[in-house]
Amino acid sequence: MVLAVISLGLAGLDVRYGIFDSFKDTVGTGLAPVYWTLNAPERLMDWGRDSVRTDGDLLAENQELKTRLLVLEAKTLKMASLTTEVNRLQELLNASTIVDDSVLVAEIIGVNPDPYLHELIINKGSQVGVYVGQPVLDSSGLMGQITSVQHNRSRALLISDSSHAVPVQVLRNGVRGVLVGSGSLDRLLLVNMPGTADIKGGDMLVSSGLGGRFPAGYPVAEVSHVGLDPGKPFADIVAKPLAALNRSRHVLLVFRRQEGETGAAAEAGESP
Amino acid sequence: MTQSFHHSFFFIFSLGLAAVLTVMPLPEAYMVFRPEWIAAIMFFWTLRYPQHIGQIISWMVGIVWDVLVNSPLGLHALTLSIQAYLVAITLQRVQMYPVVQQSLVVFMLVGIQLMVYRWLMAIFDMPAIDLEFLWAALTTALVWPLVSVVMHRIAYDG
Repeated sequence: MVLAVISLGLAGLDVRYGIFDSFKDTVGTGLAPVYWTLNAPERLMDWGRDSVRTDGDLLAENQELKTRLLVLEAKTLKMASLTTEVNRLQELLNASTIVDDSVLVAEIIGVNPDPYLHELIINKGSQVGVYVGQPVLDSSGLMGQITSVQHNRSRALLISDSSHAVPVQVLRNGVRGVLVGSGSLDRLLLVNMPGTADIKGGDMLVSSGLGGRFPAGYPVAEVSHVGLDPGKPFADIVAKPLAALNRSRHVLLVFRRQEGETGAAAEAGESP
Repeated sequence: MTQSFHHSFFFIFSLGLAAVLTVMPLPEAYMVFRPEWIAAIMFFWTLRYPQHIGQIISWMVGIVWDVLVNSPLGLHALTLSIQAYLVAITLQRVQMYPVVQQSLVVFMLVGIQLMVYRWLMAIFDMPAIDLEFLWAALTTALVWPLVSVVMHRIAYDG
């Protein structure tokens, strides 16, 4: 009975005020071997694969990567010129300019075992400047945001969690909406859209930047189904996340550079 | 009855193994079938060594479990101490049960824990969207004979 009261008291204090974060940090560090054990087979496999690679394989891979780098560099150059042009036009319109964000690569070291919570544990924490609310991407789209940070690890809530929502707009025509997680990894719901909204299957949804949490313009999802039920006030729109929410091993943490700022956060973002 | 507890190492090792199995990534579709390994292991210890492993130790293990899975601190501690309490009051009967009948007890105990846990999680704004989570009670009951046999063999031979 006493234990029950203590437990509930602890849980309430923890959820509402977060006063046990340092305790959790300490115990969590003690529990690191658990995650280390989990990742050991994968590391062993990687190590094994890397040590039996032949020169030829490595050279071929090197060649391929160089080619890709060249292509991407060319694209970046084009992008840079376009960004400058857009910025000049934006200045004419007195709007804020677009600045490239810097990113930091982090590795996923665990997932929350609770089937109703979509949460990842990643191996970067406050020591490299990760902060609560930071957007998390993979190479193909937005994945979620950081919800808690410890010294050398942090937790990210995925966009598919039923408590997560992200403001988006349709790339094709700029229609805005809010994309809410459904609790299932491959379904997101675009809520409160009138039946007359111009949205079709296959439309790309990008983050709109409203709310100030996620930077504008990152791809989030693709509309997979638009259902119109005359009996309901809103259209029934389902989208599929573009990021590989359950397959990625590496994620990108976005550090947002303010206009004219070349500060510590941005530099921290560039170091691996 | 007052013999010292000389399984400390194995106690911690078994819980470490259970912790690894608890956070091991599974495909989304199988996640609701993941047995409650830590509850099963603690059931073994509270059943076999009631004079050493009781509600207080169960509560502490639960706190560590909470940190491990980032649930509100104290929820698993509460459910594990409820289990320890229920084991303590039914000890003399359950110890004598054949292993299959113990499975039924595990099914009920884990079911109670899961329901209490989800109910409290709902209070903390993290409601379950369906009742699929109760499958874990069944899978835990199904792995109990295995856990029991393996743990028993190691604990008594070692």
